[in-house]
Amino acid sequence: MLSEHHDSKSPYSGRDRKSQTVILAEMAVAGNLNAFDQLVDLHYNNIFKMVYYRIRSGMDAEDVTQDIFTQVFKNIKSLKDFSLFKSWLFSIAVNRVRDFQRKKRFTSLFGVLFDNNTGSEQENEYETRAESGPLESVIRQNFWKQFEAILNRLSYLEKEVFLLRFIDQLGIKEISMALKKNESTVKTHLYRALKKIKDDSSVKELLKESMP
Amino acid sequence: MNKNNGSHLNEEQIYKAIIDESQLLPSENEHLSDCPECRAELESFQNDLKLIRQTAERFVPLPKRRKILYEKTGKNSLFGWGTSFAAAITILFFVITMHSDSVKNIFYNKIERANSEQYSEDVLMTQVNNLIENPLPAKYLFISDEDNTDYDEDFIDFVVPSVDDEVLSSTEMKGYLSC
Repeated sequence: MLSEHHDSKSPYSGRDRKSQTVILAEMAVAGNLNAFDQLVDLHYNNIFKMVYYRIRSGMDAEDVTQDIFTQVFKNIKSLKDFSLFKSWLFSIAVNRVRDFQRKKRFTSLFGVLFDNNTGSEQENEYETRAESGPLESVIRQNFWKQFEAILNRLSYLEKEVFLLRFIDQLGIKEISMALKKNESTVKTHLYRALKKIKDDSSVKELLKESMP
Repeated sequence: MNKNNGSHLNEEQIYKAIIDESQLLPSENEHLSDCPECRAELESFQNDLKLIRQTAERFVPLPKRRKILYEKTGKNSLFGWGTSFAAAITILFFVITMHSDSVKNIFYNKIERANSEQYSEDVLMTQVNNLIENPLPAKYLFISDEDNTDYDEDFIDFVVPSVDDEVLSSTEMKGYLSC
């Protein structure tokens, strides 16, 4: 299995991963389910993290990630150039996350009709699973709160290109393909995002408070 | 382009360098490689961005489950949708028909009619039984003293003895004869 849980520990990074992706994608399209499984293993954690950065709920992130890979399975035959798999995967992910956020905004209009307590309790249980203690939990919650506040000062596209470039670590070309925008548009939005973030004093504060 | 009397890269050029170093002019690139101050500024911002990414990564929980439901998709998905759709239509049909008046009449009319007849029959029989026991309405029972039915029969016989037909006839005969 080509499973990787953390980028730093993964033996498959950069070019190796790209070539592995191409081979596995070809095998998956030929009907090899095991190859598809390995392809999922290779990208699952990155996609899960990508989703989590945007929706900041572990349970929802898992659901959306499942949905993304289901879409990948259904549509992988339509992909002509397997070297573009990562961009294609992220474009599906971006769209799915946006759909989820729209749906959530819509359902929040009728929030009174739903009992949210059970969900939040489950979410808390989920969040504390990997933590070492209450202090870590407080730091984590504070980090995500400030992270969200900083990102909320950016427009949708600025936020998306910033996250894809500096948090998900995609190249300009990959972002351009994932968002279906030309490269100069991506760069312009990145420039604006960086300017806003540089001018934001809370970024330094965020880093200072979140340091172990 | 420059700050501090034209010697260093400005903010815009620093951002350009962070986004894509190939955007910088060769002279700007050369300056960046030679100037420790500009390089420090660039690295400081790059380091901040890296720290944000690393911290965000540290605070992402590990996913608990990883099961891709591709067994349920693919070729079988059409059949699954078809079956679900047919089941939904059938349930909808039953719900609509069970709630429509005509169906309700068919199913419930006979039972309702029988129950209604039974009920009115019971009411009638209760009234008849009450009239057999006492033909007077309840409000007249006090006047007629008919509600006080637990009197002693022996006492009444003692106060007002019953008259036998035979005794009466013989007495009448004697009296009549004596007259």
